[in-house]
Amino acid sequence: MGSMQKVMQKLRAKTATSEDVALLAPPGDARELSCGFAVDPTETALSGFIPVPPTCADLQESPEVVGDVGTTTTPSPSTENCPIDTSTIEWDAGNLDPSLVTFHEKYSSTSEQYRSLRARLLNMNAQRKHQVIGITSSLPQEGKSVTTLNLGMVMAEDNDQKILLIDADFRRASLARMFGISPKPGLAELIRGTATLADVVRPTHYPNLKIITSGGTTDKNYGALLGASAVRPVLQRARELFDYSFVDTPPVNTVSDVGMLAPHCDGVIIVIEMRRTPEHSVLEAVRTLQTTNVKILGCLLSRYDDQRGHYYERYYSYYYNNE
Amino acid sequence: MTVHQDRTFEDLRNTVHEYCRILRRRWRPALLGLTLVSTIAFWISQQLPREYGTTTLFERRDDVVLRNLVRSNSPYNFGLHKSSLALDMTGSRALAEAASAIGLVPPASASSGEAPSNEEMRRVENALSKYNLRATVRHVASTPNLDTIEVRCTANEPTIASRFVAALRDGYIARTREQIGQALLNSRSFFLNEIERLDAQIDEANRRLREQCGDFRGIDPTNLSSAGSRLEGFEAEVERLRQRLAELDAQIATREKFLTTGALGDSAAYAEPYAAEAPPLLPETNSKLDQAIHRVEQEIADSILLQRMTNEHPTVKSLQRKLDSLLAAREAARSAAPQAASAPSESPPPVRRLAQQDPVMAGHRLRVELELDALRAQADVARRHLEDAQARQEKYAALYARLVDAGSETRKLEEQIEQDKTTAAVWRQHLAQLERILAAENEERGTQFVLLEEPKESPRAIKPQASAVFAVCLGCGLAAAALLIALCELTDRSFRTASQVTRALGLPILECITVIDTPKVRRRRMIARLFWTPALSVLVCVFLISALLAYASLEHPRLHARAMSTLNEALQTLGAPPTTLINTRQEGG
Repeated sequence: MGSMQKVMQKLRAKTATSEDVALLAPPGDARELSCGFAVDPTETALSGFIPVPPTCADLQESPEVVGDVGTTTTPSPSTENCPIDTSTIEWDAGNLDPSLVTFHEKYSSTSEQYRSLRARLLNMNAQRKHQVIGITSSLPQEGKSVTTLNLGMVMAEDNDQKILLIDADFRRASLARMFGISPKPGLAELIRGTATLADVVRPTHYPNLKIITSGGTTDKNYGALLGASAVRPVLQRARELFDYSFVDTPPVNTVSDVGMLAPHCDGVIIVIEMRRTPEHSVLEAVRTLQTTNVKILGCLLSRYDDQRGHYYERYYSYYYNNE
Repeated sequence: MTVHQDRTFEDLRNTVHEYCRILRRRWRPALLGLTLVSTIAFWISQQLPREYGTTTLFERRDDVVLRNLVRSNSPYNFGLHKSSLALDMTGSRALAEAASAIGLVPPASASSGEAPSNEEMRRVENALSKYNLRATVRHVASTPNLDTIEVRCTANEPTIASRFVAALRDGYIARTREQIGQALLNSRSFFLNEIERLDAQIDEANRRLREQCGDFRGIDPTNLSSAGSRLEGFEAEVERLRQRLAELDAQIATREKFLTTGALGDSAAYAEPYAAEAPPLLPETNSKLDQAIHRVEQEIADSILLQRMTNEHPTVKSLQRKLDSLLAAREAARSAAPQAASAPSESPPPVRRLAQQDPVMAGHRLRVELELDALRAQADVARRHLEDAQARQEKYAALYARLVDAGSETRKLEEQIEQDKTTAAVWRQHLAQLERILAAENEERGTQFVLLEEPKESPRAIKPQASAVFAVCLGCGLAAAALLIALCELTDRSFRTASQVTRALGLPILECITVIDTPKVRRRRMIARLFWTPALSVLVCVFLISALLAYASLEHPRLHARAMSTLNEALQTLGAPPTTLINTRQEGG
């Protein structure tokens, strides 16, 4: 056991890739899970999941997605191709939205705040009860998408975690816009069954961070799309394939989409923009979410203007510069 | 970012920090309220009525001589004026005179020296209230002989204030000098009368003293010893003349005997007939000697008893010597009288007989006869002199006796004369000093008043004070800023702190993400700056200009008037109506 711990520590230190793990792990010592993740049979709790990319077989073994979206018959998602691989793409910093601060300014104090959010989430979720986390707000433009992206990226900094970002806001398609990519194919196509999971899962700069954009919609009946029965298998599949999935949702008070999407999530984070969002609006959103029996993990305060932040930033910069 | 617990108002540091945070957040409305309200307050402050003050300082000193003179002879004195200074300077009469002097009321109404009538006082009060004139007087320094007096006057016109304070001061000085002059003149007439009276008394006493001496010129009636000395001189003269006469008589007798006896033999032949033929002492001579002795004894007794002379006094000694000589003469006369009485009465004249026999003898005889004639002539003269001297002696003796009798009265007169002379000398001395003070008082300001500081026409207003104006204006601005901040905070229903979120929602705060500095945020910030910076800059400039104008209107009114006229010209050039925000009273001033 001791030798295995050392091996695992070395692996963490090196932020080893899945291929390295495959090479290092002796056959028979590591057990292949149905989801394609290798786990130490002796020290599961210690080592956790070792990221092993899901194979095409994994996707094919996933439960079928069936159900209707209103009157539309949604075909089951195609699983012929392997959607999740370790391939990465190089991001052009010029095309990326400047608010992706964890990419542009990786060691800024704001990035550190997102890392702090990550640590808090991981501490809260030690039992891995909440793998699919919705990120919503009471009003538009409060920073849901920015939070989703930055949180996903700081979560992906740890190679042990496989992260999926899902854009469920069909109206704005913020994730695609911020990455500078086409929203299609995306979640809408996946729900409708016109595209497979492998089609909609997009690679990113990070090997363990994937994105599902919102997709294209022909009509404005977004609520019916999210209320379709196909949503649950999609999120269930994501729960199985990824350690954490963050769903960028529409605002609660503006549209009713969240009411249909949130019950499928394990928890919800409410983004509150300081000095803008009225108190009653947030209270109404919380009340709406509570009526859907969704667990609210907590609040994230965006655009928090506190001089103490600048105060700490000075020490943070000093620390990093000396390092 | 770490989520902080809400202990904003539990801890003073957190409270201060919270207020600072609110101020940092709401600095724009705060600055807006501060500048707007302060600017309005500054403009209003320029319309407030102004009050200008002027001060004059002068000394009033009390002459020691004057103080002594007037204290005893007049109700006026320095202490009285010291206590009634405020009334004298700011009383109704003083105010009326000053108002008349500077032309606030018709000159005729207050020109009379009497107290102004009710109608005149109403007119004066109207004039004073029109210019808001107020006068105060106080002793800056006060000593028994010197007062430093400060007169202060406030008005809404600096010129009026300075003129009024000068008129008050000059009126007080004029009135005081008039009172002093009156007191001095009264004292002067009193002194003159007193001196005249004393001189008359002295003359009368002197006349009475002179009457005691009568015709005796050169006799000081007050000097009894000199009169006695002179009497002694007369008596000595009488005695000398008497002795001379006796000598002449003796020589005459000798020559007559020679001519009678004609003795040419030895001395015994001469001596015997001479002694035999010596005239005997007359009874009247004895009585005269007795009288002289009695008189001298009387004088000695007077000198010792009345004039308190001792035996060693020269006068007493001389009298004693004189008495001794008189006693000796009387003794000699008494011893000679029996011999003369026993001598033969009839004998032939020997000289005639010898002359008939001898021519030499005849020559001698002739010579002796001639000498005899001369001696007789001399004896006649001496006798006449003696009679005169005795007459004078008697008169002087009578005068002396009279002077001795009138000794106490003489001394009284003498003392009275001395006292009157002393008093008159003191009055004369006072009169001389009084004349000096009067002469000095006839000069420009006399010796009683010294002007230390002339009233200056200061354009700076003493009320309202610049510091008070600035404090009130800035206070109003700060209050408005605070009110605006409070309104903004009250109307803002959004979350401002993490603790508010926790309190309202009961949810944990996962993290606080600060503002991400994206180009969009920067652009928004720049747009805000583009709007706010010029707006606030203009507001701050207007605020500063208003503050400067308000300060200039208080401290440098001329500069303020020039600036406002320039501003009006600029407004007229731009076509705008001229501003009326100029203190018209100040312009008039």
